[in-house]
Amino acid sequence: MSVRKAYRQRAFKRSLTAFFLVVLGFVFLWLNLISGSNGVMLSDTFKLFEWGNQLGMIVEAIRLPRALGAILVGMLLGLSGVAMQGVLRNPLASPFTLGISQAASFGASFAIIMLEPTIATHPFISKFSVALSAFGTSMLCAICIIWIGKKVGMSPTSLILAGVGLGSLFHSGTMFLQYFTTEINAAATLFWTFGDLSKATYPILWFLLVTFCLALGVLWTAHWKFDALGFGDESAFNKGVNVKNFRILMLLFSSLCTAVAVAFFGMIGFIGLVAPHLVRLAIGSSHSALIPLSALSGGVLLLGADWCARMLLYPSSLPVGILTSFIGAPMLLYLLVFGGKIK
Amino acid sequence: MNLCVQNLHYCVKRKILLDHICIEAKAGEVLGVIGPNGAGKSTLLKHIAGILPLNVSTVTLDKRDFSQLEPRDLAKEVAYLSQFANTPRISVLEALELGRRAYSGMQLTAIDKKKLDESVTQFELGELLERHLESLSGGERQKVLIASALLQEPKVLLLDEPISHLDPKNQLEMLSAVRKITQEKKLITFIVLHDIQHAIHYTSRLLMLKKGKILHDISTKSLSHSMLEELFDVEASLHISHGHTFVYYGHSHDTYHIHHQHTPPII
Repeated sequence: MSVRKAYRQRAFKRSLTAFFLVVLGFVFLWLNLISGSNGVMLSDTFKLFEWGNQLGMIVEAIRLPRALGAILVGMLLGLSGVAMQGVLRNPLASPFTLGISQAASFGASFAIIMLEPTIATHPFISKFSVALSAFGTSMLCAICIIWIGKKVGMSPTSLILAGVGLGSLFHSGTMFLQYFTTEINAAATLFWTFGDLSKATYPILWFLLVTFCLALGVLWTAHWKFDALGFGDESAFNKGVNVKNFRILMLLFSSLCTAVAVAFFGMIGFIGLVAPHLVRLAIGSSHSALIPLSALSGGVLLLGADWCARMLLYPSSLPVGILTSFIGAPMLLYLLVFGGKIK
Repeated sequence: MNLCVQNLHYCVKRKILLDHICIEAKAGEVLGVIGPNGAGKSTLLKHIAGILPLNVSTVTLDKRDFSQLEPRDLAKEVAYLSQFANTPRISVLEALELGRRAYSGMQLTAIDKKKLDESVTQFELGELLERHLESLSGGERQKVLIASALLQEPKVLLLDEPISHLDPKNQLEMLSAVRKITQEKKLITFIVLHDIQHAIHYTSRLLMLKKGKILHDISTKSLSHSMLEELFDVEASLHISHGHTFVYYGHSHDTYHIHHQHTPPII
């Protein structure tokens, strides 16, 4: 086979996977937009394209931001997951491996319990202060891990251990706060941890979009460095990768993606872990396609999961974080046992 | 083209791993690096590759100081094949592409693709292009890794035990290919070998390393059994048959065969 033919076949396989994901994404988007408190209204499909009706207003104000939120958060988590797995050379790495989520949870609990309990009554200000605090502690955790990592040569194992240690520290901090606060505040902090996409608003979506584009640009231009890292640090260096700097930069951007998603929407587990593995099964581990397609697959998965979360126990709806963990765990085990290719 | 290693000294926790090493090598030379385990063979190669820290002017190639080069520029000068490289789940095509990334980064040019095509023809990798590295046999995988290393168009090629997992046929093919390429492309090749037989037949020069020091730096032709005995602390003898030199480790049968038998006599 000639190189040209191999390129053609590779491009075909990648395009097919991307096409499948995009189609699936549109199907989930359509389902999300026609589903609401009345259940799934297939007859609403054509009304979606009419301006000025009542459905249009509901879609624009509630369902569309929520669906776009699902796509963007899923894409951020997928991107973060693929970067973590690549840079730490560990298939179990996910946006939450480095304790980012525990740190966010601590930050949110701190804001809810300690930062002027009075502002918690004001929905807008409380949401903003909680998100900021969660984001701040997540990034603080990431910077601490990188600082510790630099002391020990940035080896993947040390970074993961530092993440586990810091995660545990932040988790105990959260429990400490919860233990000494009122039941209402404790319940509020607990409720925050259930990832919920109903908090999506357009300004938040813009913020997520900008973060995503920035991170995608940085990660994608470095796709070959992830491939080189697959051979080990020494071989990667000899292919032209400044391994330590690359690892720091990627951990920062990967943590940024997770921190932004978690700060606004709470913990949404397993998307970052499962999305890259699903794409790997289809197209292998070359990061030139794995990075954008993992993001896409994360977005589609979360959009689908959010629709299921709203419709599973209709008329009541579940926070999507509970569902992703509930479905994600068996999905990962299935891939592990029957896919046989998680490496 | 001259590679010059000057006064290379490396300690870890007060243990001297390389003790003031000096080497000069010319284009077209295949240098066999031999020595017992822990002698510092891999450490030496990693220093030349710039993976381990280098002092100013310790390793230079025609006045270019390796300690001053960025990883991407260094990758254009030196290609290094590690002894214990992991195998990611990427295809042969993608592994070959990595050899050109130091030049073109994320987007390969038409020239890169042409070079890829030539390499595929040279190493007969056409049938393997879409296969994943992990599904290849040891020999095929090593061939791909060498091809990828050569796509970096290096001037110095460093191979750390490249044949340790290969069968005899693949070992010979690999070593012949390395020798041929070194001469054709005027490379400077360092190759760590444990099999002295191969070192004798496929290298032009031998660096004998023991406890971080160069014990002998000789032309392969001038190897003597006493050097090997000193290097490995075992008895060794060299035998010549049909123009080929063979090494035998252990006692000499010629001297002791009357008093000594390997197997008990069958009763």
